[in-house]
Amino acid sequence: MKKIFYDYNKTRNEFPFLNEKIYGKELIYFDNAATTQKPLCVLNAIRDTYIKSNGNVHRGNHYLSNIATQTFENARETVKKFLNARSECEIVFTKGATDSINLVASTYGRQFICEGDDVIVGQGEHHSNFLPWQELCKEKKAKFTVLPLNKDGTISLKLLSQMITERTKIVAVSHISNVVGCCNDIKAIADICHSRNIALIVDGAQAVAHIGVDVQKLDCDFYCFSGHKVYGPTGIGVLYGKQEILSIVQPFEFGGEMVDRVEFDTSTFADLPFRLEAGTPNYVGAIALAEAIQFVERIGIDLISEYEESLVGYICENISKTDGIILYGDYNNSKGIISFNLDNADAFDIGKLLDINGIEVRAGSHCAQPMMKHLNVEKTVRLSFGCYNTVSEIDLFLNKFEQIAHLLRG
Amino acid sequence: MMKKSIKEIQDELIIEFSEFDDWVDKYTLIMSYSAELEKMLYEYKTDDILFKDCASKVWILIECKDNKVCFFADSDSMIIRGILAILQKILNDQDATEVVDGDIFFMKEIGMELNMPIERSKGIKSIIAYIKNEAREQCF
Repeated sequence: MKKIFYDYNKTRNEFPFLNEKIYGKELIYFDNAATTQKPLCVLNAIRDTYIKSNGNVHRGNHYLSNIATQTFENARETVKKFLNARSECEIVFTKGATDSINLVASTYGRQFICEGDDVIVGQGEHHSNFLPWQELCKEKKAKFTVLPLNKDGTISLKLLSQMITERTKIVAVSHISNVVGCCNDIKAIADICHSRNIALIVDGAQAVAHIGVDVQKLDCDFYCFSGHKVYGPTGIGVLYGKQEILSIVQPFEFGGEMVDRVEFDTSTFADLPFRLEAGTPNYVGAIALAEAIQFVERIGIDLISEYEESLVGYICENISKTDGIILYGDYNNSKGIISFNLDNADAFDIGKLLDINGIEVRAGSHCAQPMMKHLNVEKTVRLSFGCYNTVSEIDLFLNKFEQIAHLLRG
Repeated sequence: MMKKSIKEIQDELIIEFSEFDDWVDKYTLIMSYSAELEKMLYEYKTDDILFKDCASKVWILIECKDNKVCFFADSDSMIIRGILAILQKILNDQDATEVVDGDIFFMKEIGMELNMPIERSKGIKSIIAYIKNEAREQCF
């Protein structure tokens, strides 16, 4: 195993949750693709905002409102830098990645998809980047095309080029698969899309905590992620959109904060990004998300990436020795996720038996049933790592897993 | 020898499970019961008898003979197979009236109802409801 100089104990000390016990046993948390645990700085940010500086943003001219507004807008700047967006007005706060994708489908999608047009979606998508497009196509009588994947779960650039038609208007793909952790070549996909005047939306929910993301280099038109998968709180997410595209998007939710002038006969709306953030935003969530991003930046996303890759390499090398193990995807291209099955054992059984040993993993279809079809299975066991997981946790897992495999073989 | 009542069998099971504090031991016991569940031949595992409301695949065939309930079942989950074997122990060869009216409480009493993922717990409840309903339809 490659030697990496990373003080994971220092990181672990930031997460009080990791000291918890379940069923009286030491907790090993390997379900980070579902949600991550929260460092103290994030927890403190939530508490401190409510205790010390809670005022509604962009509304009052009193002290608390000003402080909250400043901190909220600083959070937007933090996200902007994190994604390397060109401007803060390209950063829209949402409830999460699902909300971001639905926002694009309900605005840009409804505006620009017409009857007979075509939307292409990768087969590996999480349902949240599949269903909004399927529903939009139904509504608009457009064609919904599901793009088959390479064997390793990545988007086939060749197939994408072949399947694009004159009527293709949107392509929706994930940056990193939530099932097998494979990473798509977003820049290459963007080049193909843009050469045919097609908008590219990227679901980055599984990417931002694991690899550096530079939306200018990726050149995608939209990019989204959820706060809770990058050590931030639930209920906050981000939609990045290129300014020239967001500026032609009509708002689809109406209410406070997003207006300029309200008259009896018609109204005008605020500038970007506020006109896409109707109502009181989750400013406390956004402030805490900025803390989470800064936490990641303090460690360094490249170091996290390298460390998690080493964890994946270590577990794959060892788990592959288990009789009857079936590993999915290509682990040389996996960003912190492995999926597997064992002989004919039920994935739920494996998940439950690990759970009662204090090891939390996900078993099921991972909200990605089309991907399950690609893998030709109904469910898998998924382990997903975060910056606080360790080799010794993996060793404990391997030990228990061997016992469980023995038990399940009867 | 007369078959024990649905309540008596469950009371015995609860005592058996209460000997263990650790869930690993409780699940090991459940899975050991799966050995008592006769495996269904592949050709019998058709979609006609595939139970739809369970997170894992479950096939159930229910018969009524001389007003007594007898069900055969299988699953691709060893944990579910163990539970099905326990249900067989409780319900098979019981009078149909007892099955229809019987209170199946062992899952709740041994804490399994709460420990299982909700979709599985619901699935087991649906299986029990299905057996009762089939007993009602076939035996009465």
